[in-house]
Amino acid sequence: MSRRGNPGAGQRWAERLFRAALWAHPSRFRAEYGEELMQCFRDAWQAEARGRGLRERTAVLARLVWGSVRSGLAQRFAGNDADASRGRGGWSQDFRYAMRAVRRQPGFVLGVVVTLALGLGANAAVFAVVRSVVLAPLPYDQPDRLIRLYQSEKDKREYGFLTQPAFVNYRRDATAFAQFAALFDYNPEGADVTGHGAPVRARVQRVSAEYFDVLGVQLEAGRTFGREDERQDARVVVATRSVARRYAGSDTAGALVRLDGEAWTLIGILPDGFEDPLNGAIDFYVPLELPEGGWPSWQWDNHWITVIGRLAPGIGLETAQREVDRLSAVQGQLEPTALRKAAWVVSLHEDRVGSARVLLSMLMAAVIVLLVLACVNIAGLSVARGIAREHELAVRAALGSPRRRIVRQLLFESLILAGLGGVAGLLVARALIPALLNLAPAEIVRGGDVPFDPVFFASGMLTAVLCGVLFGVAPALHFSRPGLEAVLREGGRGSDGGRGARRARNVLVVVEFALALVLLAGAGLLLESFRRLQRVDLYIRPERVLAFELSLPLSRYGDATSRSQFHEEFHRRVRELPGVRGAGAINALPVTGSTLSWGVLHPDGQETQANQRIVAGNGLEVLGVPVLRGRGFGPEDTPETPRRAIINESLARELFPDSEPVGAQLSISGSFQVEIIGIAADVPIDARGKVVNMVYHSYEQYAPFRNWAMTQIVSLDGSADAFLAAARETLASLDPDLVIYDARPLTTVLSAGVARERFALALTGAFASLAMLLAAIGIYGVLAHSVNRRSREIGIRMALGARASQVRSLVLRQALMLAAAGAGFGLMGALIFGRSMASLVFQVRVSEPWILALACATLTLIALAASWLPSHRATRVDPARACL
Amino acid sequence: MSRVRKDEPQERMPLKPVEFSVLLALAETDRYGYEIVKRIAERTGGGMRLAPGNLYQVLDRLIELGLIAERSRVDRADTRRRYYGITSQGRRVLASEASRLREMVRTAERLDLLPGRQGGR
Repeated sequence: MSRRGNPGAGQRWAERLFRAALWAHPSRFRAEYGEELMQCFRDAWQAEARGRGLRERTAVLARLVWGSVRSGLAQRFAGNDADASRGRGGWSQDFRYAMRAVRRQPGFVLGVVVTLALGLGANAAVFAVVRSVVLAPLPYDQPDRLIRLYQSEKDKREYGFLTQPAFVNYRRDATAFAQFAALFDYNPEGADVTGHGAPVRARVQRVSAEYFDVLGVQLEAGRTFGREDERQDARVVVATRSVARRYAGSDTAGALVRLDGEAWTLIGILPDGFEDPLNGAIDFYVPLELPEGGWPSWQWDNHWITVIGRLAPGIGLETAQREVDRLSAVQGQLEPTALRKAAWVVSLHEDRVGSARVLLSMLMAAVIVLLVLACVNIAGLSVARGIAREHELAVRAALGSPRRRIVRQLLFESLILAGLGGVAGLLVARALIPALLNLAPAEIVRGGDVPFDPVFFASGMLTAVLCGVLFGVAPALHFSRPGLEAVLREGGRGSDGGRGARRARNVLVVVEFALALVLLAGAGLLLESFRRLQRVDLYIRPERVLAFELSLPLSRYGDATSRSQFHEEFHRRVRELPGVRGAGAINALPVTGSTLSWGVLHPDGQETQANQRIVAGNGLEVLGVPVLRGRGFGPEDTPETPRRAIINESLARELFPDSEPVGAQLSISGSFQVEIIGIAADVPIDARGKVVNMVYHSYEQYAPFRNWAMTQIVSLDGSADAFLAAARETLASLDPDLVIYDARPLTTVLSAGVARERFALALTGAFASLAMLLAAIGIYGVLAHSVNRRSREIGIRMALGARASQVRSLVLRQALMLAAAGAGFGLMGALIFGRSMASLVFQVRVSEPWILALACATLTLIALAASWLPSHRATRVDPARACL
Repeated sequence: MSRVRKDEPQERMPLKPVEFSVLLALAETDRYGYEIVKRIAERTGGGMRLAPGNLYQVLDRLIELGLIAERSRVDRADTRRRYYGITSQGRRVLASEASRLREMVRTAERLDLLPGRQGGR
């Protein structure tokens, strides 16, 4: 800021700010001591701030400025008698008047406070969530240097996992990156922790040596992994202090913890609160096996590693990308398969928030519309208020009250209302933030707190106050003009505030209607889209199906036969429990996305991709997946018989368009043959009904291929809690060290698939309802006021023979004209707003005419309903009294 | 409405702590605004740091009460600043406020309320 020597730019700015702060003092005091105060400030600046760091200078400036503002205000509010007697000052008196005025108009106060509370509260809550999810930097050292690396076929440019050889080569050769780290999260992994009380399931993540360096976390004790730990038999773990205490009974490096029945050494202690940027809280970090070379050719085509990295200082994303491109070409020389591959560098922050961004931007837009609506409403109320008080103000002006005293009192009124509304809004925001997070889909809840943002809240409040002041004080200024005999003569009854004020109120109502229509149409789109989502046929019966996890550690269930026997026996015993209709297991639940997409080959040589599902027990029956032709798996499908599979209709159509698939052979990933025994319905892989080719295998036949992580499923007649208690006992009798965890109804799993849509719908719906309410209040206010003001005109009309219906239609016509104008602008807004929701809606066009029409119709009805009371009142005008 | 001035020191008492501190700072020598702030801060070990606005309000009041007065700028090193000095009336008020405080401190001592005084030395 400022250089040493005579007043630099910094000091000049500081002086300006201080001089501005002096306005807090009464004018007499300023005139007497203003220059002295400035001199004192310069002295203080010279002695305490000059040549210091920015932070110190800011602190000194803040102290001096705030001190001046505080003492100045105190001086004014102390009610300086001398000033008051000279018709200046009197701030405290104006404040008292304002308080009294506020107390006198409870209806108006309630309207403003409720509007502010809802508008500001909703706004602040949504912004807090948006900020913590989208805007806040990742909680790591120098987060802007963190990146994620993706790999895919060159021509596809998909965001895919890396192959192991590619990662090891990038890690070795890249210079644009300070570090690279790999982690395994293709399937979430866990381990049963034993030795400290009852066995529990812990979350485990395999990571490469540089993982903690990439994230820049400082260990509290011990060491992290080295390259020498990147092997399968390394039995070392790193955990946070509280996890270490809970599971190892000690938080010192060197302690032992039993995972899946084996002893692992705790070598490093992380600070509490450390979380993986992609997968959240992990209990134990263990080394990822990464050989430095000698990969078979297929490893160059086997994508399963997630890679994050830290850019070297001064390196940007583009430079990093160029280096990755260069290294990819080098890898192509090592292995021809790698020639087809390319990798992409993406900012980790962008990667993390990308999926939530659309949803949150949409909500932010909705909430801003709501805030504008709140401001418009306050403005409308203030205009009406200002007009209603014209008589009072004119009287005061006529009695010699200076205009600035009147304006100051109105200013105080606005501030008092803003204060009340602000406090109420604060309470609403506090209540809303946890509710929002509860409702929010997983992609939005990033873990940790969502801090409330006072600065944002204050700026929202300031906007609302400014609206109130602007629209409340403007008429006040108008009416406090001297020479308003006309107003006084009319006894405060005749005019309705002049053409300008009338137009202002009409414009406000039109704006309200337009904004409400935007939100209503948005909510309509989401509602229709959600309704269609709910109607998607999932081809399963999720009711009364319970899913839970159960993991067999390789140390004790190393061979396929023991695993298969365990499942068979467990399912047999579970089926005998009371209230159980069926029991089985599957490697991936329906509607939870694509997994194990492998190549399948028709005997004629035609190849396609298909998801692979492994089913144990009567898993398909439990889920209710219909087998349309052929048969399901049965006891006749044993490890000794030829391998059999069930395919879905989609695959049958693609590979066997003209022939019967049941009985035909299929080659799976080029490594084995299966005989097709049945055709199952097309169970989608997501809530939007996306169907992919699917092959179901029998676990009994397929157990040897690998240690499948199977999700257990049971269909129940009785209660889930009673079942789980009984199932735990059954499990303990089979193997006391195994754990049942993560039990959840299948309906919960399925509804998680539409969580995003439900969240958007709930919020937009709530905002739209609020907007309609505000619009209704707005139009009611305008019409009621207008009827009141036009009572003389109406009375004359009635005296001249107008019928009640004619008078009523006079008022209703006014309402309809306002609504129609609002609808016109609102439709334009709705089309723009709808476009931002395109990725959120399902099978609905964003310009769906019937939804827009319905929204218009709803609002028109609301306008008519809101104008009913005023129109009714208009017909009750007594011509005799109105014309007096 | 003008203030009635009474010359009895008791009429001005008790002084506010900040007024007392300002009078004390001026009892040593005449000073200008920031010098007073600095002197008070030194005396209180930084505990009392007056903002300029606050200081001049106190000065304004003390002048009105006749306890301090503005001094001539002639012969000063810096003629840009206003210097303030204590009046004889101010000295009397300061002295009686100090003795009032002394009496209160003594009472507190008798009640053994002050730290480090137990056992008497």
